[in-house]
Amino acid sequence: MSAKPTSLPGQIFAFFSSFGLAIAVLSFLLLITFLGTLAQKEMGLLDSQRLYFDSWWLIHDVNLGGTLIPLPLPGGGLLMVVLFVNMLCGAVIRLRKGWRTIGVLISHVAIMFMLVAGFVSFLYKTEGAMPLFEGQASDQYQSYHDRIIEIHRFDATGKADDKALVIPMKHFTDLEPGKARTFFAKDLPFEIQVTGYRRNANVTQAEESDKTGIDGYRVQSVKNAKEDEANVSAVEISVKPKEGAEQKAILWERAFEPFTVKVGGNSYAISLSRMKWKLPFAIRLNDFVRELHPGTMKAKKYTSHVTKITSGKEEPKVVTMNVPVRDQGFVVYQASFSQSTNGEQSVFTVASNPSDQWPLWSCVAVAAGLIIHFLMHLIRFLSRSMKPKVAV
Amino acid sequence: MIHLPPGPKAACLSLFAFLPFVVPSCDRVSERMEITQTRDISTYEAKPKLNAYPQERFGDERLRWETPSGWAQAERSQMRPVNLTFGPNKEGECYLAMLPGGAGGVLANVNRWRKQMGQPEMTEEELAKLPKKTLMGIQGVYVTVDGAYTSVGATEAKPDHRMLGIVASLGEAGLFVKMVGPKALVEANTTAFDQFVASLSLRTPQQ
Repeated sequence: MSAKPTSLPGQIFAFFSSFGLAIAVLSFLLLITFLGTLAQKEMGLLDSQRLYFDSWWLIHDVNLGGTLIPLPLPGGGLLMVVLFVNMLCGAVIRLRKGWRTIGVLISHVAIMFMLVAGFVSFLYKTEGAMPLFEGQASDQYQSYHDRIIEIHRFDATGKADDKALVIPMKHFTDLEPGKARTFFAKDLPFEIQVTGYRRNANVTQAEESDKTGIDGYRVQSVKNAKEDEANVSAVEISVKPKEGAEQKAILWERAFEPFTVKVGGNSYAISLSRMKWKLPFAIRLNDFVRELHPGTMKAKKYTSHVTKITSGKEEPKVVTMNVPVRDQGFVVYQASFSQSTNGEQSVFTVASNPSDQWPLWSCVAVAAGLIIHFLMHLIRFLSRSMKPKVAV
Repeated sequence: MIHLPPGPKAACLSLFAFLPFVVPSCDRVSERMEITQTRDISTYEAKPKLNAYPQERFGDERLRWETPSGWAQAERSQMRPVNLTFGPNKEGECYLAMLPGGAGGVLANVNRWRKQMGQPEMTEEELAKLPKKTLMGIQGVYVTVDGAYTSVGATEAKPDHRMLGIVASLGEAGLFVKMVGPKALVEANTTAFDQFVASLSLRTPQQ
């Protein structure tokens, strides 16, 4: 057994490379996976994912006979960072390198690569919906969860800028009624003060006597839906031009049209909506086919016959369940469908994830590492078994 | 009590000791923030309707109307949920007002309009003789007043103007459609006024 390190760096390295730390981290991961999965029932998928798995730490309320006891726990983010450091120190740096340990080394590096894939996905993955009616085409997809306040300029002839200014939700979701923040931009002839964010809200007509009403309407908070996609958020804004009167407005995700401000001959359409990302190609839905299990309304197969349009070049494609279309780092999946008076609408999920295939490569590498490791053990065992035993 | 072996126990304690250093501090609400992010607008994206009324923005389907050809929508206010203008220089105006309290009743409103046109007040008997028109399914009093028009807040009267209007009561609420402008212009747009009034409707929300 090696002697305990006496220097501080040595002790830190010993701690981060210890089996004890690995067991503790894996135990906590098991615990928060269990608690986070149960919490989905109460708080919905997105909120439980954010609280238990995307966090550095969290407070879990333990219900003991009706009394809630707050239990602080490390979050999934912290645990995975510590696990990565632990594997790097213990299973890569400290490991004795040689042919005997090559399989173990490959497997551990592959698991670390999977953790990196998760981190890259957490930072850079975008995912959203692209609903299309038959005959309709689009080259953008809309986030399921990310709300934005968007400012889009139109000149006096009605010509629109090809880019819109965007205030991401992380900059206004903390602005509950009573809190405000003012936003400005270099080329914007006015400032926007945002306040009164509600995650789920209705907009109703205000009574004549209601002093809080804006242009005859008021925002009414609604209990948050468990599934975040069902929430319809709202904010109140106050537009302050450098010259002229201040204008107040309600922005609501379900509004059919934006709020318009006219300044200096230009019109600015301001709206609260979900973030939209542009694709380098367009998808046109030609035909949507829904197959059901006989005698039921249960879906057997959804198939969308589409045309992928890239710089004017058209290419027929078929998107069906588990068979997506992939191009230029984007993946178009068949997600669902809806039926309305306007006809059948096929709903695609579009995802862009730089680490999309990394978990697959990681799994293959883990398997290869383990196969190498076990084969070497087998060969050693067989070679030892085949050696003639020396008589005592 | 749970007894952990020395390794994991030490690791757990160390993990909690480590927490305060890795937990990011909470953002303070700063007063001002620059907008730096943009997004590309798709050519497939539908152009939004600019200058939309709040009813159009919030999909308030209760109030519906058709704007007559050649007329334009003006700035809408809480008092005027529908506010239209007409004429070469938009000198004519026509709007719908809905007041929960009724603003004093039909006679008081008719006389207020007459006063704006520089005309004397009328009596209940005279009011009863006025023609009737239907406004959103409710029978109202049809008013035509010629004279010099003094709009709210104005100090000078505009001569040779005409006012057309319908005053109707719905319970305690009052419904008003009022059109005013130079007499010749209003005469030329009387048919359009009738079309506008006929197109106004209140829809009950779908169950």
